[in-house]
Amino acid sequence: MPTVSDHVDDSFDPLADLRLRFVERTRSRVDRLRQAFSVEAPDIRLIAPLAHQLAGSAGTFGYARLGRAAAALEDAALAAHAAQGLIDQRLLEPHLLAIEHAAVALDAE
Amino acid sequence: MVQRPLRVGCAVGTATGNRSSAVSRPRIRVLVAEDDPDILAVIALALGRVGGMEVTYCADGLAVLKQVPTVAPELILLDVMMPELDGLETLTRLRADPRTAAIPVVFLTARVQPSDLAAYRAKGALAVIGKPFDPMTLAQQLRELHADSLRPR
Repeated sequence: MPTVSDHVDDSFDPLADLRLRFVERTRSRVDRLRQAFSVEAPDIRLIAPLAHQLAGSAGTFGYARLGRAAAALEDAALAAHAAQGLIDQRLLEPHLLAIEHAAVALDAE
Repeated sequence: MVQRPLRVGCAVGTATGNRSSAVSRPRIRVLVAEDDPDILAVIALALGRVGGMEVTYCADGLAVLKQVPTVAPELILLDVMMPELDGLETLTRLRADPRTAAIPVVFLTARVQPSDLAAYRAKGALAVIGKPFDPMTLAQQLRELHADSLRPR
């Protein structure tokens, strides 16, 4: 997908401030996701919206890796919940780890 | 009401606008519903600052239904997954009211699987713009969709 830099010169990034704010918010979102997973019976009504929001906003700010990881978690959580009526943390843990790794790398991107 | 064909407005390679052309065009009144503050901030930049549109922002579908009579939007941009009242139910209620039934509605969503698109079509959405979207061309996409909605079928 085209990025902002495809449309404007290098000295002007209208998204710069918003991106910084997004990066700050991402840390707390990932923490909330981890907390939602830490309980005995994770609630799909908490996890799916958190992952969904993260997927949509990360991609829009150009953080494709984080966006893909969040979308994968949302899909896997919804599929597991539809199939089994519950969320199996062990199955979804790799997706959550992928999100955490991608979030740590945001500053470097 | 004439049912418009549903189009998936892909951010890649479909829009041609830029900042200078956007501000020289008539202002369109747009009502936006999005519960993610980060995305909402990007939309505000894309439609307001870059696109020169007259934009009213809501965080959920209930707020949209409340704002519509006051704002009289020419186009509504709806997120699908929202608290209180989601995008699909919001569109259903808009279509059920003769005063709002004809307002073109565009969904902005990451849910663009064929089954999702079929549901949007069934509800009467004009188009779908997928997330992630390109902030620099969003206004132009909406202008084109709005112009398209005004053409006689």
